[in-house]
Amino acid sequence: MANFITVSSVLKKIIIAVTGISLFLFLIIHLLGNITIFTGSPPGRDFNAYAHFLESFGILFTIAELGLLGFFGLHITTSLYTNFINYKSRKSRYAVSNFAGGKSKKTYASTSMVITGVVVMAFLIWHVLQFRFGTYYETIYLSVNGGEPVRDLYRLVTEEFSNIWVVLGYTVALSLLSLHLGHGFWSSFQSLGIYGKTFTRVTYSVSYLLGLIISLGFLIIPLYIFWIN
Amino acid sequence: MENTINLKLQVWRQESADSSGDFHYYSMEDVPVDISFLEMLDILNENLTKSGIVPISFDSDCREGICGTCGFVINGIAHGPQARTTVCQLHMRHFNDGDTLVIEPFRATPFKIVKDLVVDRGSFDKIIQAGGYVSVNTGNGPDANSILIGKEDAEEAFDSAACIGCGACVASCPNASAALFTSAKISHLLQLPQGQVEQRARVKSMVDKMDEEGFGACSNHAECEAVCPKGISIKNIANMRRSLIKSIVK
Amino acid sequence: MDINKAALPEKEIVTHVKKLDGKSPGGELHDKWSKYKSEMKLVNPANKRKYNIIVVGSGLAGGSASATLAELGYNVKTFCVQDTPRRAHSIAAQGGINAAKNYQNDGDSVQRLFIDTIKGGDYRAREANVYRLAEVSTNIIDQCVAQGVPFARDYGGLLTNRSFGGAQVSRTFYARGQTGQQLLLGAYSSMMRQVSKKQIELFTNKEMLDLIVIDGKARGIVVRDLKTGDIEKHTAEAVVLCSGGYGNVFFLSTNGKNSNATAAWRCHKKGALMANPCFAQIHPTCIPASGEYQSKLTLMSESLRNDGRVWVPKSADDKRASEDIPENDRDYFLERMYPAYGNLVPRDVGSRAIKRVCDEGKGLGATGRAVYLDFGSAMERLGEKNISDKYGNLFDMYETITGESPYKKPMRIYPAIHYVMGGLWVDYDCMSNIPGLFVLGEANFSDHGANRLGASALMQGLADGYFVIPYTLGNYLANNSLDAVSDTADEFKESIDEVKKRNESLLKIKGSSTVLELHRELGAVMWDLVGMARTKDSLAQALEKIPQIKDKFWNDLNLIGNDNNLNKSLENASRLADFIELGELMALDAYDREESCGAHFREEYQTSEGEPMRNDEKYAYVSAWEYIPESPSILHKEDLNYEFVEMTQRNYK
Repeated sequence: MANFITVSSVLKKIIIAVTGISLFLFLIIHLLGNITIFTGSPPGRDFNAYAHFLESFGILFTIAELGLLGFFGLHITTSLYTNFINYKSRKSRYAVSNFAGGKSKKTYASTSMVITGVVVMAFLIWHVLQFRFGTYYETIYLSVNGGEPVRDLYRLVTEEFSNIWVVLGYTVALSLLSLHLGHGFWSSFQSLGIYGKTFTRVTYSVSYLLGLIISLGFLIIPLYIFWIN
Repeated sequence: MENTINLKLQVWRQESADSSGDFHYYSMEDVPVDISFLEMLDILNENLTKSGIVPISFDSDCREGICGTCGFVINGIAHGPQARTTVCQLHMRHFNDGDTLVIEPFRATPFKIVKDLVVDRGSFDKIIQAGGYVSVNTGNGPDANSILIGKEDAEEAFDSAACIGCGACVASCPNASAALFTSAKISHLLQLPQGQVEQRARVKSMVDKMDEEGFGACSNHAECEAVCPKGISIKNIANMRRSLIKSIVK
Repeated sequence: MDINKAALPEKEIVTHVKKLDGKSPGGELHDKWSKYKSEMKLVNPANKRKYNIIVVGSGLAGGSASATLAELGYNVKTFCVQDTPRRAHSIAAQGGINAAKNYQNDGDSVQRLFIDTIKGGDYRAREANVYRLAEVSTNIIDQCVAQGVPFARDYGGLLTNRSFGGAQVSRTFYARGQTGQQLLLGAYSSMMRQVSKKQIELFTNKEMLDLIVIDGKARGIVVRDLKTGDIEKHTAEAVVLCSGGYGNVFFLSTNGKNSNATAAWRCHKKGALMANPCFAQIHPTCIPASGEYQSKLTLMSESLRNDGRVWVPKSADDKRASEDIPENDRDYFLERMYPAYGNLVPRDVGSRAIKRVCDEGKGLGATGRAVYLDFGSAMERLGEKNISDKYGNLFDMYETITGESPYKKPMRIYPAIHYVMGGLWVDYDCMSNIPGLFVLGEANFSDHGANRLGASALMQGLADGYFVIPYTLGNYLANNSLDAVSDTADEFKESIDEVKKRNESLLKIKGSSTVLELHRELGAVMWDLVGMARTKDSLAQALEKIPQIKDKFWNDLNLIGNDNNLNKSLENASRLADFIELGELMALDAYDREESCGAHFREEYQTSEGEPMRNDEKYAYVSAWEYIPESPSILHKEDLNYEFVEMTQRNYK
């Protein structure tokens, strides 16, 4: 993948699609991991244990993190560059723009991928700073890490999500993520050349629903924590 | 039967490629609903000529929806509101009395505006020159029936080959991408045995040319399929991408 | 134009007559072309690149000629008025292309296609040319399939055929209702391949306005850049004119709005003979005009007559809706008049039959100029699905234009001008009387005689371009030593001055009649007086009225804008000026030809059954007119000697 600036627009979209699908899969794993927040006693035990389990992979975990960062980086830079090209390809804009309807899959979501994408990116930076690099609390569970201290991420999460502004910020960002995934999911297959009359109809019709489900899945945590506090 | 409507038109007027354009406003009264959109503009142009105003330049030729010469954007939709119809085949019965219609040329950087609503789509030729053909000299063909092509394959190839090159796909694409046009030709030849030999080189070369001409990248809005007068499917775009992947992997 | 009007009432309006030789090679009919090919002179491959060939037009003839000549190694310059060569009007041909492949095993052969074409043309075509056309027809299909043209196929993967008017075999190859488009795109793609190899230089948005003749040979053209108004000059060793037909002289026709006679007419004015200009074909199945603003007519493919039945109410007073008229009260007049061919009679026969019933007052609607084309019984017999597979896109097109669905109501059709058999005179080599000026496709006076059969236009355009010109052009170049010419030659200077002056004078008139009004006026005269049925009287009237329109044009034209940018009104005005002159020559030619043949129907000359009555003794010739400035045109006659077929009265009963 020598230099992504020189590869064709079609290949760029393939890169965006491959990284997009991968990030989509990551989101699902992330979401499944999040379920641990609702289980275990005392509250947060399973969640902290899960976080510790991941960290315990050591160097492998770091590699995975860097890999993920790489995927995000590639997805974002390729998309931004493509968008720059797209912008140049229509220097004089239409006075009126519209939706043709019928077979069109053009939506407010599809035309605002770069906006939703940039907002989600900003959100991700905030999210990572907030939790990955946030205050390092410690706690001890007898059954975890052989009774040695582990990071108390649960405490940080509850603290952060007690703040209405944080919860509102998450609500906005995750709503936009839902739109981003809504167009992105079915579109990735199309970008990879995977088309079938039924397949495409099905992926398109579940795409926005999947986006919504995933976003709601993530949103449950801040709302739940805010609620119980 | 003589049914008429009144319309307000807002038409983009631009002297030449280099000058800046703006909208001009015209009122049309008693437009018969049985005439085509271009015939409505013919009437307007007659009136303008008689008032000493330079008539609006717009392109048209066959006026039966096959040559791909005509085309502009009406209220934000390429070729207007009627699906699978070029503006020459769009009839006034699809509009209502009192409608305001904003008429703009097909806008895309590679489609230079020549004048008013006329754009130059010569860049499409360059894409075809990059490989949209089978390399066969006149007289070299074997007997036509020695190449067997299943009915369904022939029909599918036809669906792709039906492209009239009007440029509505580019005009309607939020990214001004020529993916539908390019892929229709790639896909037409991909689906026929005659096109197989050169397929790998063709897809790469045509895609590169499409980028070089300054068209945007396809991000799957499928607006192109909706406005395409021939209803060419975005399936062709998927075919093009698959073919490109194959040409790299192999 | 310059006809001596005082001479009109006289029987002989043509004062000078010269003889003309079509230069058909000798020998047996089926040997002529192969003999020609084996005996012609060749151009050495290394020398081909030294020759510049200009091709004007990019339709089936121009596209195929450009590609083929470039493949051979000539430097080709191709000119077209559109923004891309793919838009030439060949693209609108719907039904199909004939070829004597006999894939259906129904008894077709080159000989039979030849006979059908000669007979369909009512014995006014040159035997040797028509035979060659039938002969190369099979190669065309091979060539097009090799290019990837998606012709209709059977489930077994073999090519399928449909039948067309004027033939009793199925020999028409088709690609849904868009055969012309697919064939044109095939030729276009071959052309684009040569452009990418730099063998063809492409000039789009350029209109040819003059032919440059130096030392009696065609050596270049003068063109106007339609976007900038610049006048440009191009030199060449030969000019191949493929600029299509002049049906738009009638204003309403199925031709594209940009189809025009200008390139051909300017060649005519430079000395090229215009042959059989009065042979204009009327296509029976077009969508009737809806009102005064109609800008063009749309054809419904002749193939529809395979399954559609043409009828009118038996009684002129029957104003019931079609579905309320019982079978007994319907007059399926084509089936009644022509039991053997029924709805599939040739175009001229069908068109006149429709005109006749409409003249009897049985026509439909407010205008009374329409008849039904009904698919009711075909849908009962074959099912709606089957009919939709065959004609779906034509039905959709009809519904788009008229707002009525042919699945529910019968179509309404009426004849319209569709194609012209007349054109610049060419010999067997497709070369005009000006050496070095070759004319192909509809622009030449063609192999279709006085009437063209359906699906033969595509055949002829491609035959000329793919399989005739590569041989005959080479023969010309090898036989003539051509000195280099410079674009600074006086001939270019004079021509450019004249072209510029002409445009300036058009813009200076500042009258009150628009181009459209004047064109409509000309069209009305042409349709009413030089149309489907002509009389000596109507033609004399036309010869009086057309010069009046010409006067009005040059004195009262309202033309706005200027000459230095895109000005469609100017383009149209310039073309109309030529149409007016051509219209007058058409009327003169029709006046001179005192017989009926094919599409040329003089009411005075018909059988008791209303069929055209030829006068082979006097008129078995091609009339080729020479332009003489400020004086009457001179008639050249090429006698048509039928050595191999017997001239008979056409009979489609």
